[in-house]
Amino acid sequence: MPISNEHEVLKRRFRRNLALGGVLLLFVVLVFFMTMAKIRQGSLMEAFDHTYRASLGPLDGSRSSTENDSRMKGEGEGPAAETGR
Amino acid sequence: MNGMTDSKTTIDRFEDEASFGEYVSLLKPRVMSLVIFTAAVGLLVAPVPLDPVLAFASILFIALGAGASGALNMWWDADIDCHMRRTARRPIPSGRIAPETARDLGIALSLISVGMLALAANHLAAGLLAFTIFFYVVVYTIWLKRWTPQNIVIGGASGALPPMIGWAAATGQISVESVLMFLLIFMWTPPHFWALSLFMNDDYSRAGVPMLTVTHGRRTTRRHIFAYTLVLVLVSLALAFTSIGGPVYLAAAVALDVLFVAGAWKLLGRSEAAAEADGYAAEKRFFRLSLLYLFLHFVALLVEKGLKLAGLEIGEWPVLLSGAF
Repeated sequence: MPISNEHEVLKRRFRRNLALGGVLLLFVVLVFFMTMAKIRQGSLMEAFDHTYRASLGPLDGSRSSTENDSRMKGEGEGPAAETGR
Repeated sequence: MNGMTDSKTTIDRFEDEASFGEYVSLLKPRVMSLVIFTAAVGLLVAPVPLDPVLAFASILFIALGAGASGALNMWWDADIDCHMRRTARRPIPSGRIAPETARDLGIALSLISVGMLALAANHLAAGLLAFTIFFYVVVYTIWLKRWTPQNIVIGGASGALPPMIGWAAATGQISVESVLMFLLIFMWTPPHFWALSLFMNDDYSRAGVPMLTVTHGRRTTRRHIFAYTLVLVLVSLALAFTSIGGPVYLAAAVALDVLFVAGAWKLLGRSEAAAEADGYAAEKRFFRLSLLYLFLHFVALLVEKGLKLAGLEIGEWPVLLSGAF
């Protein structure tokens, strides 16, 4: 039998590809909803951005907010201040 | 004309190409359903609630990890699966999926499931899932299954881990409660599979799998089933006196334990002639009872959780076993 679009093998392959496409789509949707859930929980969504991040430093209640602010800006201690940048 | 002949040859080569459903069957959906149920119970009875989306994703990826190890198991066991009636129609022995395809799919799904569980839940749960896959594929399938009659005793650990993973996904810890849920399935596995091997012994003999019935005979297997059932009863009752137990669970456990011990006692007293005469009816009944036994234990744990959430706790329940490791 010559190959045609009506052949059972091609139909089966189409159904398989369709199902796989559906699974991949559901995976993308699931990752989206997982991300939303993580953000709702207040998870940090930070990536390395080549600057000093206050969230990586110790939580120090004894410091004044001004000191903590200056640390964030790299004016006090911390890697940025130490390297003179 | 020649082109048409070539076309026919080419198309014929793909006649046996697997459908999507056959790829799904590679993941052992029936085993996955047990994993989904026990992992879900482990997650739901935990004292820390998990976001519904993350809980759903966690159970899904635990199930996917179990499916991945099922595919790897089928890849490794393809040579013996074709000798057993129960497994001869699986996609690899029947020639619809190549062993290498199953192996690659298993490895890919293992990596995806562990990585995604780490993102959905935490690293402890992901680590336990990775250990489960490793234990099932390497320790059980590759090492123990064809080497020792204790194969399902030790290998049963991988099937017992899902509720512990579910609990870890919610709490980030391993606790007495999750260890006892693990032990419940761990001690249940030998009587369950040995009951199966009592009436499927010919299959295992043909495939050369050293099940206890093959290496030590049915009489020894019956004694082992009874001994493991007694230990199982202790674990089942101990779980009642943890933070996830309660009077409803205890009542269910006692009733199921009485039935299970009675079933194991009956198997112990049966002669091989009597068993053969009725086509292993009592052994088949005990096997079906074992499925119900485990299912109802976990349902009872869910009922306890439901009662606590609804504020319908019956008095002060003594919690004798508790705490995280």
